Amino acid sequence: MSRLLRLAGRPAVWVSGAFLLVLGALPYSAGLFGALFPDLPRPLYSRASFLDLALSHAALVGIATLVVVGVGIGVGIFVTRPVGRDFAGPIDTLTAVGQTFPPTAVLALAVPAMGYGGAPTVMALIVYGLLPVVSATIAGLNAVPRAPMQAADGIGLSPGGRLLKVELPLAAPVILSGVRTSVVLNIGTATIGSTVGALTLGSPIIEGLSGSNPAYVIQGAVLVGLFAVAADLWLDELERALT
Amino acid sequence: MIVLDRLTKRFGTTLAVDNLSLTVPNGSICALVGASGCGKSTTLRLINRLSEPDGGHVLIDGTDAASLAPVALRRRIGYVIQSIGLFPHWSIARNIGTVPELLGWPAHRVAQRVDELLDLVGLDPARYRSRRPHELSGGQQQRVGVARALAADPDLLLMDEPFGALDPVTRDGLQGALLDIQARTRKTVVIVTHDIDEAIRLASLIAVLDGGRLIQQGSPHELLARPANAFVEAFVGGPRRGLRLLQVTPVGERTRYGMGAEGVPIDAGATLDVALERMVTGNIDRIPVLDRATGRSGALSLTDIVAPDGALR
Repeated sequence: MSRLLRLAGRPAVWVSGAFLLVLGALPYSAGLFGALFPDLPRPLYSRASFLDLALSHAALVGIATLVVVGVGIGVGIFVTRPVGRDFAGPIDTLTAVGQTFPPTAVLALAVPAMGYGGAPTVMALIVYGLLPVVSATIAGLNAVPRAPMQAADGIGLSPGGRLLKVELPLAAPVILSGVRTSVVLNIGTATIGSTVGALTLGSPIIEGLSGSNPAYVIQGAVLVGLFAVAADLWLDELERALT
Repeated sequence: MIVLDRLTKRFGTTLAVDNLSLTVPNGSICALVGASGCGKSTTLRLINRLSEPDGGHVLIDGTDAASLAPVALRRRIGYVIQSIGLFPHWSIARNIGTVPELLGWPAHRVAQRVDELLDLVGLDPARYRSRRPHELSGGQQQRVGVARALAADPDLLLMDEPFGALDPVTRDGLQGALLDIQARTRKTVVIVTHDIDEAIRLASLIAVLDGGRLIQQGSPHELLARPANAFVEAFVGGPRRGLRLLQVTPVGERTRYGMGAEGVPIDAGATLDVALERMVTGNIDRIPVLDRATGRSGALSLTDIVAPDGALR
């Protein structure tokens, strides 16, 4: 009970509440946007429901994040083991290049291979989101203090046991901060998926930009912004719970 | 019994351990001493295979350590290090129970063993079992480190400068605790230290290493009384060798039985430094001695302390 009360005072709860409130209220806001933008014939985005856009957006980011976390942490673990140490340099370069690659370029390259829609979007998000997770995993594992590792070896933990019971738990806060950066980055980046036909909160933004409809841009941008901030704050809560 | 048989370990072109042979009897404490880089820690790590020898064998109760799986071998051997290395994200109880848990002991037996060990190392189980390592002082943490090493009741305990990072008072307390534990459990202990006083206090067998080679081995008394060369002499005693010799010589060895003296008798098993201290503080040159084991009584004079055969030069 006191735990629940403490949680109620958290910004994460407030921002999530605001996001849900805006999401629920937007369909009834045609009057408000009509008053703000009297010149626009259709002041409220109506090609798809905002709920569908938000769910689809969350699903794309969620799928990409699952892959990013799995692959990113896996790669980070590999290059910090004796067998993979030689790959640390090349992997570092590769993930850095992945991030300098503009996501739009990844989309343009992925569409011919994967068609329009969600698949190329997820692809771009994966490429773009890997770097923070890989580098945080490497940094976190390298920062595990020497003494517990020596003790773990000395008292008879196997290398795998040491990784699972000592290294990963101690590196978890740092790894999670990388995941947090990746998720927040990709909630924003996912909006451009709408240029290749994915259903996201970017759809009103893209359509508003191409059709000179600032009301659409505002509707999409406010939702994306609140979504990203809420996700950031929740992951921050999780990070704190782990330290 | 631990037998190190012609052990050799190279790091690049340097010989860290050079053809070292040593036998540690069961139930004894053996100290590996020497300056930094003499190979004492490397030798210790060869015993539980944290490091693999380039030549020679380690025999533990007759079994070649090389024939055992390293992880299984280490679970049978207690290990304590200077940096302690408790797992910071686990409670004290879980830290101590690590190896029993790995060995698949049932939870209630692990919990019971944890409390037993906290008692053994002098920490109140009710007060400490659910704390985290960072809530404990350095000395308390190393007590937990020792408890963790003893958790699965290993016959052999390896200690790598276990008390080196502690302040003198705490170190003294832990040395006492170790002697007490060893007297009760009869573990075989191999301890690495650069502190000769620690080695003299704890060990029944001291091995002096230099440049990876075993220079001399023997009881503290043998090393102090008959150092093999100038290096050992400098290392074990230097200017304090005579005083340290008093610390390792029992009163009974110099007592003239049948003679008498005034005062409260000293036990024949006490060491000469204690007798000398009694004389200095009491301004006397003669004290009575009682051998509690045999009931014999006698006297010890200042001359007996200074000269082994009772005759001054």
